[in-house]
Amino acid sequence: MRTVFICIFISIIFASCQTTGLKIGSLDVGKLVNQGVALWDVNNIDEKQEIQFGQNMSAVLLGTRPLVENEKLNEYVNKVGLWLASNSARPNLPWRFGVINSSAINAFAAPGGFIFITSGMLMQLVNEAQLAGVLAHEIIHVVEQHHLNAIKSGTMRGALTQALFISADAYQGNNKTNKKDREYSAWAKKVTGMAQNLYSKGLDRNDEFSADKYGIRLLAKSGYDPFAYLENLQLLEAISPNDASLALMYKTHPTPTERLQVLNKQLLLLENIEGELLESRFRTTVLND
Amino acid sequence: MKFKLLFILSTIFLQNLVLFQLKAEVRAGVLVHKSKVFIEPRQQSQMVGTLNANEAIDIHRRQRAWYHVSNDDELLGWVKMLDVRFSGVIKRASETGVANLLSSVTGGSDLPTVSTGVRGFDEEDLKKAKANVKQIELLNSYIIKKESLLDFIYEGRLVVNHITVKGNTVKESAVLDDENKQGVIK
Repeated sequence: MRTVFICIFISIIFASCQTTGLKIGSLDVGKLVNQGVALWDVNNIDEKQEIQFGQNMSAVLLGTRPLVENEKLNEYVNKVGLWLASNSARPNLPWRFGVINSSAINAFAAPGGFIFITSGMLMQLVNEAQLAGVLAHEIIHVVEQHHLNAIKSGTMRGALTQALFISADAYQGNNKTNKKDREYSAWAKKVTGMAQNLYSKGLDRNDEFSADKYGIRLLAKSGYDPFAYLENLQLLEAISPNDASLALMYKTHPTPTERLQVLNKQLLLLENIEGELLESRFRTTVLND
Repeated sequence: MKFKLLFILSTIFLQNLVLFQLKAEVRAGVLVHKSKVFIEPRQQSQMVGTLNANEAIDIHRRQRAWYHVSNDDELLGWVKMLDVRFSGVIKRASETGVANLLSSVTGGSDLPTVSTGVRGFDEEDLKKAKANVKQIELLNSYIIKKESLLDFIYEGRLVVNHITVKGNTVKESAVLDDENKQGVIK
């Protein structure tokens, strides 16, 4: 009799969730139950899930614009990036670096060690230290888990579902073809939605300043000329903010002038560091000189 | 006499080479605010003058956090790099190289230089995007072997400086083993 009562009580709770849009904290449980979505414990994401989440976000970034299919170029960027990452606090992540074929001037990071630079950004640079500066900034975002922090604390928290942390294959399971297609669509919809949110809104401004502060140190620690980092920002500062190639970067980052002002405080620590620029091998590999 | 002539010619050649290189690398800039100009790239060095805010300058080269600059009045010296703002982006001759690199990839029909435009990456593009799992496979194909990375580090003479990066108290690089650490930790 007692069991029957409990079952009826639970049914009433779920039914009322679906019909009244009951919320627990910031989560619209009613809506999620309606959609049949498994809730995800955002405070309990392990490294494996973080990497899969990053891979899913990367699939959307590369769905927006593909990689430049040039082995020599991508391997070069991987070497520079891996060297920096090996000097970071998370050297053992499966770091991946790639060049996205786009005229936009930008770079992206995804959780778990996925870093991308656009070919448009590469063309603005003149040496390896500047390339390393761009990658170092993105590496710090990954090391500090800025993207995960953004989804934990922001409005995106409500959109967290299991789909974001597993691969498309795992989401589809061993179902028959028709159902597989439907489930792939469901997975892709959730993953794409999250990536759009994350990369069009951008990170917290303080996280961007933090990535600059520690990015320039990572650059110096790795033996590169740290002041190439400032040169990068000065190069960006010289391009009109109305230039379409900078639209997304300006929407998601503080202006280069603001970033340079904040970095000014770091110069005392680095003023005696002499690092490498490696202009020649950058030009040979990237610019085909 | 013959030796003297050869010496003079060599000197003239070298001077012209340096001037040519300075000219080739010159970048236009302005001063963000009134700035002291030093004879050497350090604060304790002798001052050679001052430059006013918004004054146009030529930037010849950089040493650490200093730019070697000159103005129309032939004032030549070093200013702090953050006192300077670039006036415009240099159109590099080697941009052609990048364009060639990209066109060799995509086949060249709809293609891409910075000016003709590989397509951008904005908010609208993100909205239309679909997850491309095959691109992840391509990304994974660019994995670097440790030996190749070590060669790359040595070739670039990259050394690890003892600087603390937040959350990282490890002073040595994780990629270098005990044997390889010799000579690359500063």
